Amino acid sequence: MKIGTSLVGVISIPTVLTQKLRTNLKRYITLLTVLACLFSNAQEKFTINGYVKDAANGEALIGATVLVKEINGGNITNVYGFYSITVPPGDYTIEYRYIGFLAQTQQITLSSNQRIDVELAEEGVQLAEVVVTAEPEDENVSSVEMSVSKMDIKTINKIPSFLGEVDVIKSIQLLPGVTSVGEGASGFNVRGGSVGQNLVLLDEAPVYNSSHMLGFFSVFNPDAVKDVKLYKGGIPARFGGRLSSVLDIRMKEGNNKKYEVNGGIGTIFSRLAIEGPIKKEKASFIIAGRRSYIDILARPFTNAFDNGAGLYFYDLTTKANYNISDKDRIYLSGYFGRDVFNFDDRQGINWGSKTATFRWNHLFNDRIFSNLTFYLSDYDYELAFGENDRDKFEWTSNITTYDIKPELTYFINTKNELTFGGEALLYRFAPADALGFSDGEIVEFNLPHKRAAEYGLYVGNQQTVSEKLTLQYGARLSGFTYLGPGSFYTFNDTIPGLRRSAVDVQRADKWEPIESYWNLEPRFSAKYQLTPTSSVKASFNRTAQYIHLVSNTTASNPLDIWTPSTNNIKPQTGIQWAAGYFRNFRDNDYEFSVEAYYKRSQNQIDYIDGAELFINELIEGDVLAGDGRAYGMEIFLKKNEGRFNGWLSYTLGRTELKIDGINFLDDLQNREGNWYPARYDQLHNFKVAGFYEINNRISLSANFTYLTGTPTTFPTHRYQIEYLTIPENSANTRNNLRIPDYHRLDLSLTILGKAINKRGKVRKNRDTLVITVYNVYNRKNPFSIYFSQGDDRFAMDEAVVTRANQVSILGAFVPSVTYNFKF
Amino acid sequence: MKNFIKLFVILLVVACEQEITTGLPESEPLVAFDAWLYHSATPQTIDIYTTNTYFDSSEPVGIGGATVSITNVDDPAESYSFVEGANGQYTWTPATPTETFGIIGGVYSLIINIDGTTYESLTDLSPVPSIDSIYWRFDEEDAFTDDSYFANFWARDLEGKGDTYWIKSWKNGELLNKPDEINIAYDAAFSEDGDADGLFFIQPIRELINPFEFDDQDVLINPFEPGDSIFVELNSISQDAFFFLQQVQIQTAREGGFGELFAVPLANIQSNIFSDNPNEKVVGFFNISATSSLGKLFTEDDIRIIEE
Repeated sequence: MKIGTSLVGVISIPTVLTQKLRTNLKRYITLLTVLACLFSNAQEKFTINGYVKDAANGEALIGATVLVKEINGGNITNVYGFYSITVPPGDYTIEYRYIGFLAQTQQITLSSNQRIDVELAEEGVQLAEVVVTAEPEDENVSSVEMSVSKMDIKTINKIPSFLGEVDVIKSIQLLPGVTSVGEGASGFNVRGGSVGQNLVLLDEAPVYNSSHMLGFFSVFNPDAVKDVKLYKGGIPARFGGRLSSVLDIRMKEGNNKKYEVNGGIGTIFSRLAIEGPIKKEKASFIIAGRRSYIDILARPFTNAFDNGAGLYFYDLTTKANYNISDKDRIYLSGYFGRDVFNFDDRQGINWGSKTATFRWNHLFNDRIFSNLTFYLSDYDYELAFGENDRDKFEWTSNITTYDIKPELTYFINTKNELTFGGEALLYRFAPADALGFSDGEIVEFNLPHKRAAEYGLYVGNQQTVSEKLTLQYGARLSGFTYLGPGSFYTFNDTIPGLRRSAVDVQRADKWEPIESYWNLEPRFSAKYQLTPTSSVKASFNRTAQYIHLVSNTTASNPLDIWTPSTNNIKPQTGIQWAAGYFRNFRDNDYEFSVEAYYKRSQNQIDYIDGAELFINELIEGDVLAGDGRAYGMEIFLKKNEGRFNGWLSYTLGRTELKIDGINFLDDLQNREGNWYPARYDQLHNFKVAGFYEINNRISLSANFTYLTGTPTTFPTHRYQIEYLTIPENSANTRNNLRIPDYHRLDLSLTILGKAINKRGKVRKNRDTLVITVYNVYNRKNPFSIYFSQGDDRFAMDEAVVTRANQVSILGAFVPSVTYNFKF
Repeated sequence: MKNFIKLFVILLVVACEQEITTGLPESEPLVAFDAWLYHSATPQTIDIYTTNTYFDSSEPVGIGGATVSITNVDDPAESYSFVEGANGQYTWTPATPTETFGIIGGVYSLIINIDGTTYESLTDLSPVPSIDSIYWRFDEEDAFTDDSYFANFWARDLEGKGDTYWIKSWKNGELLNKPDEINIAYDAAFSEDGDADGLFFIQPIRELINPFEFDDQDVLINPFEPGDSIFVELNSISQDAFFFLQQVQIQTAREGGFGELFAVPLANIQSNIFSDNPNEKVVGFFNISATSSLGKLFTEDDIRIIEE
């Protein structure tokens, strides 16, 4: 679909967009009114609303349950800790609950709208003045959400990770349906999705590369993270833009009661976070930073860093919020981080992300909560090579995104919660700006910058149909326009799998739409309560993805670039069906779930053999598109309470692709593709995480991972041109064999510093010592197998010996010590 | 990139690799052609054989009974016929000591017939610029290298876009023939988008004629010492041959270790030779190169100071 040519012009697009948004908002408000009439009845009703917070630091509690006992209904707090319940006048008992916190009950007589802000205290931190009961949560069974994995920062903090560093991305990889192709690989894979199909959000801004040091650490500083939620399926309508999953990471707001300093000194980097009130109970901030210092530590032992070489990363995560009034609150959050690998003062590579998010929460009335988000997100890398100023090569690549997202939630009644909103994104892609000097002569070669706009409009409702049946349904209309200025190409058709050449080139003016795409994405989830402790759930969703991560390497890495859908590259679309059985045992101490999923997708991109993905203006001619399918079953058993707790997770899954030009076997003429396992296809994925509190101060944790070896392509034959020996897969298969299985055990011991000092007084500052051993039994886990003739030079009359090598990225056990403190 | 990975390896010292024995999937062998020829007054040989399985380094079995000829497309009178020798080797021998294979600027077709199946290919024979000089660049000791001397050859890409070259070098008579020593150029740079028409070959290409070898401590061994000799050969190749060699380099020069994080999957390389049986795939390549060369013995006078 083409947007009318009248939209051409510098100002018209934004104007049209805002106009569109405005008219659509109007439409929604009309719809809202209609709906409001629909749901209202003659009886007068009043609303109880407010925020649920942590008593210790004033942090909003996300997903806390607010239950009106008399009607056995209620509400769950949203990501800002807000809830709203509308009921007829009367006497009510309202219970506020949140996992790991003591529940609170309030008796109220409702005769007008009431604002009740509640602060819950953590278990073990008794507050005398309120009535408290500790009752475990049954959310696993009762919530309509499925295919969702939640992890609070407390759990993440317990999981030993590489070099003793707590890590969000490594932790979620212990959950069912989530894997990675190996150590050192950036990102993660969800239910057979590629790394580029995950929407990773930090306070609503997408993070294009979530890794530090290739894939060893993630960019999310645990000191600043409050809540992590991964949607693997049943994705609500308010999320869009990626095919497979949404990782929604919410940052802490910062303690609004007192100053707090958290930090840690680790083997590879150190962290420091400061948070506190700017204006007590009204405004607070957090600022958290990390820097690796292996280069500083190594300096006395090596001269490797004397000539300007460096190997480090740093990041800074910060947030501030201001409670303007009962109805308005603003948040400002940002992330800035960079990895630097310099091998002298003029050569090296560095990369990093920047995000900035501004949010404004506004209560239109007691039942309409709104949030307006504006963010900018940027990812870039720089490469520089060259021995001197007369001979050098510099290259930068960058993607920038701006987005504006208004969202309204209308808490209609205890049975319906309507969410609707929209978003408009603007992308700028600069795939390669390069500058070369050869003996002082300059060669400049910049690939044209590309622009694109993406939009979404959505509406979703969560409806409690009966005590047993809850539905969540909605739809998202998404659109995308590939914009000028720039050249756009028409390519010839050829046998699939061969490079297509540009046969026509046309120019587009600034902001001129070159190609547009629209997709309607229905989303649906249902829960049916079988018994108070068991339920069945089912979900369906369609998703569309308009920007693509271009990566042809074994693992995703920081040099991968993002490219928009164009007149030649179509958006990816996919559907997913999922169904599951959920059961809790022993007063919710044990949670159990089994889920099955089936996914189909279109326009999965892959590349021709010999594709040139860097600095290639005609990259579209090297891209192939085809179908994907993934199906599997996930089993999860978790023990919540007690000194011994943890979980078991098992996924049985298949992920396959079918792309013309790849794995075409003997069909040389048409090269029609046959299904082949994707690089991240892992049939068995088994994880165990266990935590044991030996006593109040010492706890032990362990995790174990077992993954089927990933598939890879083996050669069958070899031939020689001149003196070069070249591998050939004569059957034209892709991923025809697998590398050996992966398994690993990590252990960690956490020792809490004494709470009471020598004089018998409670210490103001607390500290912990964490001792971690990664890969305890020292397994050389394979990352890949490659084929080559080896490093030695052959004499010209000597036969060239070709062989297979297996590479382990971390082929050793890695012990480490981290000291964390808080005061 | 190489240095970057190296630095990473030095500091983490955890990546490791080992040679393994593994089975290979069963699959039919293919007919292979090695038709890489030179514009010169020496005998030119084309090898025709069936491919060995990947780990089999024995002499492949040649295919006999083929007719092989190369003809100038614009001048059928200029034709070269190849005579069968031992084990699938077919050779053209100059009739006179000065008769040269091919004419610069000519387009040549290769036609091979084996048991009723015809295999065809086309290539062009392009001109090559001369090598002006060879100098050595002195590089002071740092963390990654000792005091080192790097040979640089100076030649200017021919005017006009799209000239492609393969640069070969010999140190003390030994050809640098490792996969990561493949040194090819598109105009004066690495690729078409390099936009380096008519320039001196860019620095990395100038310097890839050196042997880059590392000692046990991962320190680069000084490539040249006074008294060593170098011989550099600049070969014109067809654009198809450039893309072919680019792929060969990607598929064969495997870094191993951390480099595997940046490695692309194994892929077949498209041949420029085609069978008239549409269901038959062959491997190999047809190319004719014109060559210029220069050799030099390294003395202290050949060190060029490059201003930083």
